[in-house]
Amino acid sequence: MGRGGSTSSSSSLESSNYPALTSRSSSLYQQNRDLSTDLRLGLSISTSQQGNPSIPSESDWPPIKPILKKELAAEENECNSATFFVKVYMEGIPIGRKLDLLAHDGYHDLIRTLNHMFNTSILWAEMDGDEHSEQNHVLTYEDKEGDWLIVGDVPWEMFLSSVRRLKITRADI
Amino acid sequence: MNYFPDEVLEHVFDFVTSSRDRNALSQVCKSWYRIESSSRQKVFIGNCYAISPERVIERFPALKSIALKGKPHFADFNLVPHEWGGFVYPWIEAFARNRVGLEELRLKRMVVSDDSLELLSRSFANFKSLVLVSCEGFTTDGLAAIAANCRCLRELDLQENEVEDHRGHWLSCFHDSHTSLVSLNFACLKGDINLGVLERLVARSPNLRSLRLNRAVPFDTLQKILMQSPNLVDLGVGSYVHDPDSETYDKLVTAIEKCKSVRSLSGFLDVAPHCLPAFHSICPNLTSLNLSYAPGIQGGELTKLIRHCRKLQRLWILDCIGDKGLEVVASTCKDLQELRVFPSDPYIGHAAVTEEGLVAISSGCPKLHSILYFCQQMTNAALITVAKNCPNFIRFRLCILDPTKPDAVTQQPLDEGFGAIVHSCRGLRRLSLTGLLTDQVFLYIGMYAEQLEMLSIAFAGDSDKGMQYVLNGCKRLRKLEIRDSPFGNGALLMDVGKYEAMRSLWMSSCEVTLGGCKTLAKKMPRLNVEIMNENEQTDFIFDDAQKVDKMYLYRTLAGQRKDAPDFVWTL
Repeated sequence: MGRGGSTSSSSSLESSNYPALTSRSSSLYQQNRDLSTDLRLGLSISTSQQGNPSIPSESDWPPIKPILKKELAAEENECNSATFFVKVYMEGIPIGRKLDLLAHDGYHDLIRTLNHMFNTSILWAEMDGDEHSEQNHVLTYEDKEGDWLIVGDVPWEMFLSSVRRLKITRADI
Repeated sequence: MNYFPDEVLEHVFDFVTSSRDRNALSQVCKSWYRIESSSRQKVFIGNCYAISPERVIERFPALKSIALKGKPHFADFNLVPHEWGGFVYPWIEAFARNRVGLEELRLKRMVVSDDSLELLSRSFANFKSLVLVSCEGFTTDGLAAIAANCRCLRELDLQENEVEDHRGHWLSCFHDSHTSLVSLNFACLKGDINLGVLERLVARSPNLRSLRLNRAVPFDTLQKILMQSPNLVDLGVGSYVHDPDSETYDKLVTAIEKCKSVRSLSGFLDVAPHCLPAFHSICPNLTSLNLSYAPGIQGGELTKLIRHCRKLQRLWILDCIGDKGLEVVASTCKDLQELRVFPSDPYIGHAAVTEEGLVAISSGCPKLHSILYFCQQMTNAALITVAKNCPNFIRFRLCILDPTKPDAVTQQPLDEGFGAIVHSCRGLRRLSLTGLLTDQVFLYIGMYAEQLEMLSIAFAGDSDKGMQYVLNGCKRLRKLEIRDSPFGNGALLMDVGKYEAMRSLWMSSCEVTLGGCKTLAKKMPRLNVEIMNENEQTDFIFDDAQKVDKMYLYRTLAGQRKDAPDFVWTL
């Protein structure tokens, strides 16, 4: 009845009890995630679930509405592709670069990339005392309020929420 | 008995609004039946196949508002084959033909075609309210018809429907003179929306109190809409990705501060990290918060938000809040009545909350009466503690992601834990169980769960005795749904009369055979016993010993339904 019929034939495949025909290639309880991520997040890897014949098929367990399941799966995929590009200038060089902050997992990673990108070694808030003399440049950032601050004082997530752009200035301030 | 004229009785009956109470009234005597039936305006039909539309119209000539439910509950989890049924068209067609003065229609788990919506929109001049929950079969073209033709429409509420989106022109179909909107919820639509049309619609709707946007509505439109509608009571945020331009963000903060009436918040379908603080100013007024569709909000941010929500009564969230986050809920939300915690990572089969979160909530929130909790593990000790802390549960639904997992500490079945729940919660009306469970838990349920009306069982029990305990003991049982449990014909046929006192029974992947179902159908002509088999073998119908994949039976006055698809046999 009505025009809804044309959509239902394709989705009837999804709702059948045959092995799930979803886009994910993993079966429900296969651990194909990055295990180091699991450990870092403090998650335990359950072995009891693997190979258990009574675990229900992916399409009807756990009992949450398909529309919610789709939203959550979509977010999973998006998380892996989110980006946050900011401009980076080095003092004295008029042409800047752009850098994806979300492709880095913390300050150390960021400094490493910048050191490489600008072929220098960069000072930031958390460096040890004896390394200071070695650094030619300092990494600073402009926050949402327009103030310039040294990078590294606040937690990484907080930094991500307030940074607008980066600047590498000479160390002799 | 009748010391009063009919008009007086009718006036008294006007104060009785719940369907159950009115059903009770109508059974007192013949004249009360007559008066009640001729004056009832709001009708609830729990199973659209239990009765024909014509009979409903005949009995309730003053009908103005009707709620209908179609597919069985397990259809929510893909267990019911797609073309099973639950069509609303015959109902609308019958109402139109009989010139029912329909004003409100509420549908749950039904198939709603564009033709139905078109017919609905043209047939009832005073139509005011359309609420569709978990329905399917329609497109935005059907919505366009509703928008264009229902000139008195006050409410269009689409909750979790599967809608084929033909892009945003349906909103433009609301006439410029349409200023009566009170409630508009299109959060489940996937497609784009004409933002200018939306803004103008909101601007000309001074009575708008509830607005839930979809993910196509961006941050700056949200800000403009909130400036237009400071009297909103219920807000569903669509996309919440703020752009680095802080001016829009500041404007939003100002707009939100003006919305002093907002009591209910939901949505955040797309979220950029760290911009929730804009909402902190309305959090102290919130009584309802639904962030189950916001997987983009990290646990820490969630917790920070909730710390401001001291008046919360209803909370739906994802498990990324963690046990620690639930402790924050427990210490902040002392008025909490209903909690739902959904798994944010359903495909991996790992939940981020355990029994600890549940125990924390139970000890911190004395008014808690409804819970739906997806978790990684559970223990008997935790359930016993929860039962002691919260004897007022009306609904208790626990879903352990590994459905046959035993007590995480003792490795014992969870019989004792659930037994404590039913023993302590005398008013329990709805229960869902998971975990390693033997027949013993059903003995407890049969013994103690006197008010139980709905029971959902998955992967539980050892033998027919389990189901028998329940059927024997739970006098108020109305809906029983069972999957993947070893209950067979012995249980099914033990008390066949019971099924006429219930709305429905669902059994899938159990031990019942075709022969058992045939026997039942033969004994009980006023039940529809429907069988669904995946294999579609035509010789199936002759092999009585074969197990039935899916059986759904329900009491009915309408006889066998005529719209069943090929794979459904009514015995």
